[in-house]
Amino acid sequence: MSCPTGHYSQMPGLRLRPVRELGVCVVFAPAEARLFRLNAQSWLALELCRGGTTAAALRKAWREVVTSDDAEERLRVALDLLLANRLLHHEPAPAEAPMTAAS
Amino acid sequence: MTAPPRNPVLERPLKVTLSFTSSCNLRCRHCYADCTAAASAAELPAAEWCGILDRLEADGVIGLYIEGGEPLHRADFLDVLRHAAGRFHVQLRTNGTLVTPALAAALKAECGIATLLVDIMGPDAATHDAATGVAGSFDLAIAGIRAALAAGIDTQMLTIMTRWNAARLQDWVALAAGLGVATVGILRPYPLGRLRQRWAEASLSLEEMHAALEALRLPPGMRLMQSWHPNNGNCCWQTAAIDAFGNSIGCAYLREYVNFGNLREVGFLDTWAHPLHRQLRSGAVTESCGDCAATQGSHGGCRSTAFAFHGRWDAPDPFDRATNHGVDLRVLPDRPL
Repeated sequence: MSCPTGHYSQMPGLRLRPVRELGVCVVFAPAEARLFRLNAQSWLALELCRGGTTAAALRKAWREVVTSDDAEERLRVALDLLLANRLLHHEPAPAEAPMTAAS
Repeated sequence: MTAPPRNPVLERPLKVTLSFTSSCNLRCRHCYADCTAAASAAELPAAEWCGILDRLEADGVIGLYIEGGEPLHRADFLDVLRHAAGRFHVQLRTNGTLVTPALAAALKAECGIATLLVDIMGPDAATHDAATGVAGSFDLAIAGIRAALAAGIDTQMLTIMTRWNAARLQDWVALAAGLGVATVGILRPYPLGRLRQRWAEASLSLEEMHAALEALRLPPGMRLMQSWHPNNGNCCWQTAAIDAFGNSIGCAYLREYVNFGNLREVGFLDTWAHPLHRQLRSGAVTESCGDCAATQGSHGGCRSTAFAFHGRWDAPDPFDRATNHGVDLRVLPDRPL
C-alpha cells in the first residue's frame, strides 16, 4: 500500500452541498457537469483538501478524525476515488514527479 | 406490500424543477401546462428568475430541472441559463425544435448544461407531428437532437406513453439508437392540462402499459428510465418546483393541485415548510409497494396520480400494479380540482 505524498487540492469550481441528515455530501463539478454523492469518508477527505494541503498535513488531519486501524487504507481509498472522478488535483512531490523525455 | 414506513427527510431541497414558461411553439394535444403561443405578461421575467436562482443557491439547492412549456421559446431564457452556469447542475427538458447547432454550442460552452432531454412522441413525423399539432416539428426536433449530440451534450429522449404511441415504442427505441441516444425515458401520462381533457382517448389500462414496456427490446448499452413497478418511487421527498409565475408547487405534476405560496411574497424555504408540502414529502401513505420502496428508497409511489384518481394525498398509487386494486386508468374520476 502506498502512502499519499505530494500536494492535494480540490479541483476549481466545486460546489459542496452537505446533506447532514443523510450523512452524505453532494458535489457539483461544473467542469464535468456532474453531480457526485460522497460518503462521509470521501467527503471528509475532500473537505480536508479545501484550499490545498500537503500529503503529510492531510494524513495528520485525517488521523485526528479517523482512528481505526485501517485509517491509512481508508484515506487511500477515498483519495483514489476523488482523483478518479476528477474532484481532486494531485501534484506529486518533486522526487516522485514523472520523468519527461527532456529530463 | 408492506406497512409503509416514512421517506428520508431533507431539511432543505437539493433539486428544484423550474417550469420556466407556459408558452410554447408547439400545440401538443397532451400538454400538461396548457401552453399558449405567447408568454403571459405575468410570467417571471429573467431578472426575477435570476434573483430566485441566487436565493436557491443560498438555500442549498444544487440541481435544476428546467422545463416549460418550452423554455427555449422565451428569448430571455439563455440569460437565466447563463446565470445558473457553474453554480447548478442543470437538466433541460425541451421539445428540441429550437436547438440549432449554434444554440447547442452555447448550451454546452456558455451554459454548461449537464443533460438535454428531448420529447419525441413517436418514431416518425406522422406520429410525432400529430401529437404536437405542428407539421415539421419532428424533423426539427430530430435535428435538435443531432445538434446537441454533436455539441457533446448528454442528450436523452423522452416520451409519454399513450394509446397514440404505445404500439410504436419499439420503433421509437430504434430511432433513439439510430441517433446515438444512449438513455431514453418512457413516462407515465398524467391527467393534467390538455391531456386531462382527452384522457379517455389517450390513456391505456395498466395492463396495456406494462405489456408495452415488457415487449420492448433494448439495444445493447441503451438505458431505459421508466417509473412503473418496480421503479415507482415517491419523488416527493426530494422534490420542489416553481412555476412560470413564481408559485412554489412542490412538483410539476402537482401544478393543478397545490400552491405553497408565491416567491414574490414568501421565502422559498417557507414554502418548503408548508404543512402539505411536508406531508407529501413524508411518505405518509396508507399503502406502499415494498418492491418499489426497495428500488427507489421512498414509499407510496406518485402522489399526483394517487390524488388524481383517489382525491386523497395518502391514497395508494393506481399506476403501481401492487397498489392498483382494480382501478381502471382509462377512466378518470370526474372530480373538481
